[in-house]
Amino acid sequence: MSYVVPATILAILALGLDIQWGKTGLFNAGVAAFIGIGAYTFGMLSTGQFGDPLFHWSHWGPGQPIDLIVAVLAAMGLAGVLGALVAIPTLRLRADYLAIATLALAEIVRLVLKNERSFTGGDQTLAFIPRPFAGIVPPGWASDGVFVLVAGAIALTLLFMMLYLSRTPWGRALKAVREDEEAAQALGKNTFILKLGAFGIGCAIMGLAGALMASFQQVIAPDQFVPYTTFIAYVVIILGGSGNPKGVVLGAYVFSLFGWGTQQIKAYLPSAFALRIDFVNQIVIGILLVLFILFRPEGIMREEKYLARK
Amino acid sequence: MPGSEPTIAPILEVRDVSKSFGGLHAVDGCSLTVRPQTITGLIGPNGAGKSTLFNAIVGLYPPDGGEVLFDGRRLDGLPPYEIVRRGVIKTFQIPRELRNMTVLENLMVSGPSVAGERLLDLAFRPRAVRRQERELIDRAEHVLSLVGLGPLGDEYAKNLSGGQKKLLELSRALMARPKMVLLDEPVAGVNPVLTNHLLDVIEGLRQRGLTFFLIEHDMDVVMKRCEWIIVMHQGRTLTEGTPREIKANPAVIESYLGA
Repeated sequence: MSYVVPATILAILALGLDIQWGKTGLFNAGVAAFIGIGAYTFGMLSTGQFGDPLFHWSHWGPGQPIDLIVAVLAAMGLAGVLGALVAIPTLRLRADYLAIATLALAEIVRLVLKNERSFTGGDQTLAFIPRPFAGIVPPGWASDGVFVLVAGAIALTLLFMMLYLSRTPWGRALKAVREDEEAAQALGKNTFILKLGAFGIGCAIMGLAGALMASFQQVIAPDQFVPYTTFIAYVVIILGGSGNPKGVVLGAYVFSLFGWGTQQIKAYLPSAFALRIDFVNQIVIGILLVLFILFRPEGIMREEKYLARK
Repeated sequence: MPGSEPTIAPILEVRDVSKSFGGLHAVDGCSLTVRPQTITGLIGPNGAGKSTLFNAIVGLYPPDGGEVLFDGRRLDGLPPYEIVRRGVIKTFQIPRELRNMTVLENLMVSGPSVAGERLLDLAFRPRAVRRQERELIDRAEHVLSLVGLGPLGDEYAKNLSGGQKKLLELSRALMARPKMVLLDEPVAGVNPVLTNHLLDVIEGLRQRGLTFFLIEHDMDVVMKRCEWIIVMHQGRTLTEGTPREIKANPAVIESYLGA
């Protein structure tokens, strides 16, 4: 469970980023912000906690399944709308401005979550976030099992949606923007609308990943949404195959296996080394990333070639 | 009647258009007209502002001043995609192929209002989208065979040769069902045999009603294929006339020699 579910959530996150970066070439440097917004929106709505959890309990009460669905939709909607709001002024400018604006946004979101304690709970965490079917399924392995099914179904649905969209005229127009935006304009594409759509949808999917993360962990803290989270999403895409949804999902499972595997062997290592293994882990990820960019920039699975089927 | 003013109403009218980059007046109060169903050449020394004028017409570099009229309606100020919708499309001097897309995709993506480029179409009109996709594939294959790229539809555009990329530029423009095509050096770097074929294709399309406005440095091509030639110098129109008149005009030769 400590492997499958986080890997699946990472796959969902990476699918969201892949629409932006893999398909459209939009460099979103603030992935963490959109997961954070998703996680906190879901957490606050599903627990009914809009403030210090020790003092202000809302009348909503935790664990109502209908609330969970509304909370997930709200998490996706808010992340998507926030993404669009950042994108509208920056997408018209040169590509780098989007990166700068989103990078700044991610830190703003994290610091607001951290400091507005009366609203979010701050560093004292937001806890008691319910899991799906919490009223029916007892906590423990049964709850974990249900979560695997829920997250897996969502990831699979998204995967098929992305595979379908890749073959549609919309997906093709996004690729044209990625390859050469000015040429796409000269060919009659409204590139701003295309970019805005891709960015908004990508952010909404990131919000969904955040909501799932909050529900699975049941406890969230602002510092989970540091820029490193954004970096991991990019590593997954580059590893798996930018622009290929199947590759991106594979990348998420491979990447998670690596992190999970090192945690598992910790127990069998001398304690002096076990303490350092997390840092070794990050060094290896960095080296791996460089090697991939140098020798296999298309990732494990390259983008699928379009072949006309009549 | 040499030197006579064009009597047919122009399809494209450029009035006093300017475009500057910082202190550089690339296009400086340029006015010209293009008659429908012609192949009109635009020549002039390097730096005369020809490519910039083309970019200003299609909205990629919105003009700083002046008016552009197509079919009597203003084009200036419209976004590039709207100008393509009105029927004016341009090819690039240096081919801008969409590299990691196939040749067929490069063609299919071209043109205004492809159904299914809006997500609502995908959700609510899936059948119309599928039907249009089949039509697009058929038409793309037809256009490719027209320019001689027939067998290369499934090749990545980045793998084409320089000359083939030029052909791709032209075929993409044709895919958009334009009324008027602005060609920025369409045959530079294309071998002579293919050049002739390409110009025959253009002539055939002209006879079927399209208007071509082309920048070209190859004087043989311009003199043989264009019926009207406009000469630009230092950002504005220097003179215009039939190939014979242009050849005989000493001011044209002077402008090329940098006088």
